[in-house]
Amino acid sequence: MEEYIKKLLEQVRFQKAHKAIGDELRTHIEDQIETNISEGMDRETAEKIAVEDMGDPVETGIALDKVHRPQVAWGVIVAAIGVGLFGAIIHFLLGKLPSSSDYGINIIGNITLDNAGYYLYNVVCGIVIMLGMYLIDYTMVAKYSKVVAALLLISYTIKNFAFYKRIENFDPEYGTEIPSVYQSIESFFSWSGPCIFLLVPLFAGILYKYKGQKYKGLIKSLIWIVVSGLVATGINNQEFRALVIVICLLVELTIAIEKEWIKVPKVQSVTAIWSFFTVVPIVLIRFMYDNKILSLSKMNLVRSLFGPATSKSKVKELLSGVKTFGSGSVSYMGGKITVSTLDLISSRISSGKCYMITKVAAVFGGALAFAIITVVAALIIFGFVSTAKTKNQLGMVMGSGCMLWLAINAILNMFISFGMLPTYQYTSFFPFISNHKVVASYAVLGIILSIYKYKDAYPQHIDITIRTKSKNLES
Amino acid sequence: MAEEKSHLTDNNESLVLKLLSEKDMYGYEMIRTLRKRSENVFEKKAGMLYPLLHGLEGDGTLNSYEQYCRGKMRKYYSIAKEQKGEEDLDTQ
Repeated sequence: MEEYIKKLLEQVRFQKAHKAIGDELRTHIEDQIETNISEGMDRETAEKIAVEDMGDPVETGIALDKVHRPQVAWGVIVAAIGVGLFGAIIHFLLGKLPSSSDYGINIIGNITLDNAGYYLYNVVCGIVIMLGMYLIDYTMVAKYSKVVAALLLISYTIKNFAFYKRIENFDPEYGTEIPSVYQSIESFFSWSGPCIFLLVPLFAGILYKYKGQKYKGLIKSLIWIVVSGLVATGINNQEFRALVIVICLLVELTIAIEKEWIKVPKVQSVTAIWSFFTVVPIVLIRFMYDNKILSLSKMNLVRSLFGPATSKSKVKELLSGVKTFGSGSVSYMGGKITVSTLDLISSRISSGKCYMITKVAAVFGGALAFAIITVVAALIIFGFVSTAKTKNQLGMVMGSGCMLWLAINAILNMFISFGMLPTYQYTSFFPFISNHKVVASYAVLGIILSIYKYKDAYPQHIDITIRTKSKNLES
Repeated sequence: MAEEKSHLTDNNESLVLKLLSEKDMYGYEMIRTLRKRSENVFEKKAGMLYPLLHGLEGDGTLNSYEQYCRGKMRKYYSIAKEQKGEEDLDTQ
């Protein structure tokens, strides 16, 4: 039997599919052996006949090889690269506008780049990382998820601690910073901030490691969520960023409970978890707001969410003049004065990074803004559909979390771009297009491509335990 | 020759879909059921059922899931919902 399976698998070039194919065929042959024995054959003859019944292993192996090829979503790769190049052209044209006062310079190493150059640099880095993620097996990410997530959280905490200590070291006389070891520490761990979104795919792996556990697994998962939320909040008013991550982690946990990885009563547990994570923060913020415990910027943020804010009306005012094609104009004083939307950009929009969609609509027309939103939405929908089709539950949860992260950020950014939410100190981004989180957007798409690649190779469940040498010897 | 082979594959596909329209089954269960009905299309080449199943699964015609049955983890195949709808329409 093993000889038959070995010969068959030698024909299948996609190594990742070997285990699933081997297991399925082995079960089939074992069933046939049992039937043959029950019909009066001895074990040896029963196995010989069962293997003969399977036919030529080379012929079957070649047929399976044709079916099991790594899946490459070329359309998505081309679309992602296309979006990046298109984005670079838009950034270049926006940078040429006389009113683009917020368009500055960025320095990478010793190279000075304008915004379009900086965006293109990020696109190139993003595409390289996307292809790297595609080559890495996502189950490997899951295998080391706990260690990597812990390292990420610790590194980001150290970075923030060093930042606090560094700003304490200001020379009161000259107002300059006194060089200290904290500068080096902060710089050493600076990678952790831009990587904090990786908690979303990593958490899928962590949850998978708790598969089969009951309340113990649930409590451990909740501790990961709370700690991740607190750490991701950081020091630079990143509550929105932390909120998006926590929502993604909660959705992943909900799917894990639904898929019975964590064996707790489904409806009661999910209701309790979501109620807790909705009610407690609202009550806490309300209490802190009423008692004026929050900092001034946070008080403003809370107030702006529930009341009218100036930045809201300014964006809406600008958007009221947008045309389908080209720049539009806004009328004032009953039509006596008209101002071009192009000229209004610099005076009405404070932060350039968050309002990419607004700018495109104001300068190039609503049709182009709509086209950009459609293409990015199509990429996100592709991600959701691919993960939904994946047999492997780990891939499904990881992919859903990643796409949700992109989708929520895209929706939040659209709310900001349409003047329905304020920005304040939250650096919102529109995936792939804003000059912010470009690399992260591509990295997340790379994880989806990796899941898509193995969608037919991995069975429903796989083993992601890290095996030590001693364990291997025992087995 | 190639035409004959394609015709055979089409026939086998229809046979598998007909079997799975009755209930979800795993590979060996399908072979056993076909033998009982004397439809021995996979006689002495039972292994060839699997490229067919995996191909149908890959193009979305079939779904699969794992479930314990008679002490072993088995891979069950079922007709995808949209395919089932089309089959129902065909039979009407």
